[in-house]
Amino acid sequence: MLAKKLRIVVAKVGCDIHERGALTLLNVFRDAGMEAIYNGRYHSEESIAKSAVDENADVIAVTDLSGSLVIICRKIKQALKELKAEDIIVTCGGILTKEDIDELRALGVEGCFPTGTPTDEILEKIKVLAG
Amino acid sequence: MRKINIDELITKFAGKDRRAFAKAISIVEDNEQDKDKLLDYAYEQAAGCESLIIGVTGAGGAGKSTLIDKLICEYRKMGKNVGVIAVDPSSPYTGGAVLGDRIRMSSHNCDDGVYIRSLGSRGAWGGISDAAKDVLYLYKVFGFDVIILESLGVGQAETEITNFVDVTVVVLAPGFGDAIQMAKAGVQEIADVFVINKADKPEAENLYMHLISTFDTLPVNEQPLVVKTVASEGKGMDTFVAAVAQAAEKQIPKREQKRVTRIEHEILSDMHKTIAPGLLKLAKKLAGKVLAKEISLMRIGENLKDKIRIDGS
Repeated sequence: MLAKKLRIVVAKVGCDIHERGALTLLNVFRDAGMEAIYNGRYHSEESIAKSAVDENADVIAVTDLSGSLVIICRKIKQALKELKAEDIIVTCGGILTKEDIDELRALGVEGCFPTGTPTDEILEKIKVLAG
Repeated sequence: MRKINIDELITKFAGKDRRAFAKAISIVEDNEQDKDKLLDYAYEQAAGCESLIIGVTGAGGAGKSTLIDKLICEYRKMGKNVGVIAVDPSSPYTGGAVLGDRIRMSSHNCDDGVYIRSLGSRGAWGGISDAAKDVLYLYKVFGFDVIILESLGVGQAETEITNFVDVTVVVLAPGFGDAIQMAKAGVQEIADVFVINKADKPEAENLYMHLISTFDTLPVNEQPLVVKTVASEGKGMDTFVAAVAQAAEKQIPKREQKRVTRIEHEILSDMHKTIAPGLLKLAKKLAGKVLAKEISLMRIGENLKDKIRIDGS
């Protein structure tokens, strides 16, 4: 039963305690046949980037409900650059304004999912990005 | 997906490039075409590598990951590099997995002397993934002083791990069963070190006594070591580390014999992988015949003698 599987790090950065999104995503990714890796809450951007490199992840999926996604994703992108791992795809979901999404796009963060996005849509987009 | 040049990867791997190491593990795990070349290199190099390999097994929820987290701290204090392979179950239905062992160990994410990798079991039996056995060679070559292999926590039959590690640690916690569980065969027989975790719980002392009395009849030097820890608070870790060192010492005279057993088991596991698809096909065909009442289910054994013949010569 050996075959290439999409590996995805579900990430929570900073003090945001809301974990439901992360837990839901873990199950959604598992049920889609992916390997979902979780570090738990309260991490730094550097910690997430390093774990994604060590796990040879294809995607980092950041979830946050504190309105800090732009800051977090910018720092994760920077940390990945320092690790020469810019090819790892960064996506995010949670509290997002339209301006946030524009700014994230400019950072190279494709796949920004505001609260209420159906999980099928998230899966579809991630498969396209990682394909 | 991204295509990697294998020779380039091996060169980077030899230069201790972390990303190349992470990718090499995936090549083995995903069974990519360059896998054999990579493993030939690793197998050749691993001969001169001295790492202490610790296998940790035990029921889910006993505290394996938390214990490993604290164990990493202890070895880091001694200045040793630590590599961890943590296996979690893959879904038999979708092949997907939630790999959560990192959660307890993630305080080491930013420590360059620690490398943690989560593997899905991907349909393998016996508590560790097929890939984990090969990945161990990569870890050895990458030069970790200590390698910790965490098997998935299922319960009683995960004895396979012991063939691939130097010291087998079985983690128990109070509240999982009584003296009869101790008397059953299986995991209990493979341990070099028993850890009774969550030892601050009232039933822990009982479990300790049961365990000790189980091994009373064995010669003293064959009795497994039993230590008590409260991993979440870091209590008892020094005794645990000392017990692992003592168990490793005891293994030294058995090393050559263990190496032979390991090679035998790896070959067996490869044989199984090679013939499994054919066997499944045959089983399906025979099931059809049984359902059509052409042969009795109880006569399958006789029928097989003509179809499968391996006499070891």
